[in-house]
Amino acid sequence: MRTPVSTLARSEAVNQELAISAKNLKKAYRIWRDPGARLKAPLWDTVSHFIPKFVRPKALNNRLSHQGKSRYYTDFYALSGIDLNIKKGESIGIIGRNGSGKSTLLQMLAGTLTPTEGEIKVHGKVAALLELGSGFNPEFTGRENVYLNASVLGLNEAQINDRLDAILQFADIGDFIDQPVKTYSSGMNMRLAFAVIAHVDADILIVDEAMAVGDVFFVQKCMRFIRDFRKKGTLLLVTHDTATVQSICDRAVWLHHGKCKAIGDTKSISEKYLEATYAEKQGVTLFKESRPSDPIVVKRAKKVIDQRAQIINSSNLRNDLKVFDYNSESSAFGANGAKIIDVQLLDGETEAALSYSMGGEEVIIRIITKASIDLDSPILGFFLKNGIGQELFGDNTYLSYIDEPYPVQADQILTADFHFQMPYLPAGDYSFTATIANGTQEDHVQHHWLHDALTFRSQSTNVGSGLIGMPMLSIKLNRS
Amino acid sequence: MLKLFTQHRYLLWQYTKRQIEQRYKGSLLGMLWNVIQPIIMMAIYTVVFGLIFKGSYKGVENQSTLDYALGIFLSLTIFQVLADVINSSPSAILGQPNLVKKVVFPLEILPLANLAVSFYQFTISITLMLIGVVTIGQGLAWNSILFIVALIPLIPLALGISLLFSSLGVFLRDLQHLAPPMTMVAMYASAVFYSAQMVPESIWTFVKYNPLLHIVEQSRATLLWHMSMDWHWFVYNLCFGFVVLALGLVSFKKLKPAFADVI
Repeated sequence: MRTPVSTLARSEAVNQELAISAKNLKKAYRIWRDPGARLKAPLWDTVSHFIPKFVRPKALNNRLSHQGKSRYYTDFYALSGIDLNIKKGESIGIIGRNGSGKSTLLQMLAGTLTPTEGEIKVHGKVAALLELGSGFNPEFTGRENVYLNASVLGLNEAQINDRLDAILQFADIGDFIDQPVKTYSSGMNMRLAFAVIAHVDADILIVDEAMAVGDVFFVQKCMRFIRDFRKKGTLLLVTHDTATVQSICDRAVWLHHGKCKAIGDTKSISEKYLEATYAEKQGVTLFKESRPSDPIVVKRAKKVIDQRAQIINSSNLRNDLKVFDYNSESSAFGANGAKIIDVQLLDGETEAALSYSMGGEEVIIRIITKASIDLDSPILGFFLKNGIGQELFGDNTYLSYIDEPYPVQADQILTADFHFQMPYLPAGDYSFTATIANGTQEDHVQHHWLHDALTFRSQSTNVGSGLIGMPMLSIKLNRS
Repeated sequence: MLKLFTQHRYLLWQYTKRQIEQRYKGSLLGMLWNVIQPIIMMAIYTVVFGLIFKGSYKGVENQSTLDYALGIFLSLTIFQVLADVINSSPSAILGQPNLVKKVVFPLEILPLANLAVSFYQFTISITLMLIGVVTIGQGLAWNSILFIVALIPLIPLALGISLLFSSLGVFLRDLQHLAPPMTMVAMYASAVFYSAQMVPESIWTFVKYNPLLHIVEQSRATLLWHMSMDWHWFVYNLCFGFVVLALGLVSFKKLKPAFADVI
């Protein structure tokens, strides 16, 4: 039986699972026509309160605001109606172009900005790293700022004393800790700010493009921390880098002109975002399906070699790669001046199609395209992505044909072969993305960008660490 | 507000301490300036108003130039609390954009720390004052204790002004430029160099509503001349102080959400 009481209890239970919920969030910035307008507008508004509507002179009415507009200002909506529910323990990536409202959203979630409309509910302690610099007082030393900042984030003096060593070690800025923060480089500033928020036991961590200024070692340190943090806390991350989002976040939110354009799994959102970025740059209509209108029959190499048979060493660390069929229906975009009609993985010597491959082997990745218009300098390329979308390596034909472009005419078939040694790959799913463009490395029109054209699975591996393993020329021990 | 004090004691303490240290950092005499400055000020005013203008506070018998000097010192010390608040508050929040935009910082701390610093200097000056009264003045009597009571309205008044000005200052940047002339007016309208009795009736009609005038007048009467105080004006001061405090609290609370939009 449903009673009001039980409904209430359930909604509380739901609330307990949510870390952040935002409803119809809007943020308007008032753009004043001139500094004097800032003073005049409220003045006329106040005056009008004392004059009943029906006797107000027209000149006065003209000076009042009507739905966020008046002769003194216009309201600019940095965010117009965002609904967001973030569960506890979830990691959310927020992507979008500059000015799409990412930082405004984060600032409101962090509590530094007040929404113009809508409501935000946050459950748990929030630690935010907003843009560069953070909330340090530039006159104070780094050490003093650690105390002040940590205190703002809810630690008492004894707790800060306990964690000071860990914080300083994490920040790793040496003797600068006792210098005023105004003397810090942006990198040192960020290091210290990150070190503090990493040690305040936050439930919700909000990071806004902070990684951009760190050197590679520090970024790695931050990433390690963030990966650990994900296990216990809720993470919100803003970045331009879709690969970071894919490798860290569970879900992605795509903001566009202050609106939420899409929410979903990181992979599909990242792909859509990338597609839209190219679309905007090229100003072309896009196609979703890459299925050719008139199927082109491509002669496939007949002999399929099962390379495993040739393995003498049958150790269980052998890097077996199971190759799946070319997938012409995976998501794609491009200007449609050429189409990728097949992508194949071939044996390096025999050029036989492989259904199995192995790390360390010579292979050929063959991309077969068909032009539908004349292309004066086509570039074919590929890259290999791992299961979470990180780009491992890739290459294209640009440099090899930089001096003498290789033009094709409409309806010609253009094939590119990339012959290389397959690196050893950690267990997991991998995919080749294939592309055909026309132009130069810097300035080109993307004609067909086919995500996950060819996928394969690494079933067992000898790779101990890193994203890929390199075939070693030799490994030796020397004793002296 | 009370919650703020208990929760962020540490921050308030750090900001206050830091500001005091910073004020004299790197100077040779350091904290001694806290003592030297008011003494020099007192000397100048005594020479100019006491010896040259032959000024004295009316209505007190056996008043020496030294008594007049002590009177000026006490009056200036009290006035200085308010002057500090009026001058420092408009830029208190405006000057810390990082704390407004980048973190969720209890911004009330900033004007309060300024206030705490001026009360700190006040305490030093008053201590000097008491030493002066005992050594070169007319000594202490039971009525002198009343001077602490006379000062009570100063607390809500200063608190209210600091909250009001620091929040308004974010939106009205002109307040920073308005502050120095305001303190000037406050000084001459607060019976620092004269006593209330000397004010002509026509001016008294306006000036009598200035609570600082009564605070200064009453503390001088009690501490220096061992008189009782005018309870009628004391109640007025107290009410005035709490009205200003209420205004300050409301203003700060209403304007705080919009700080980040403007800075």
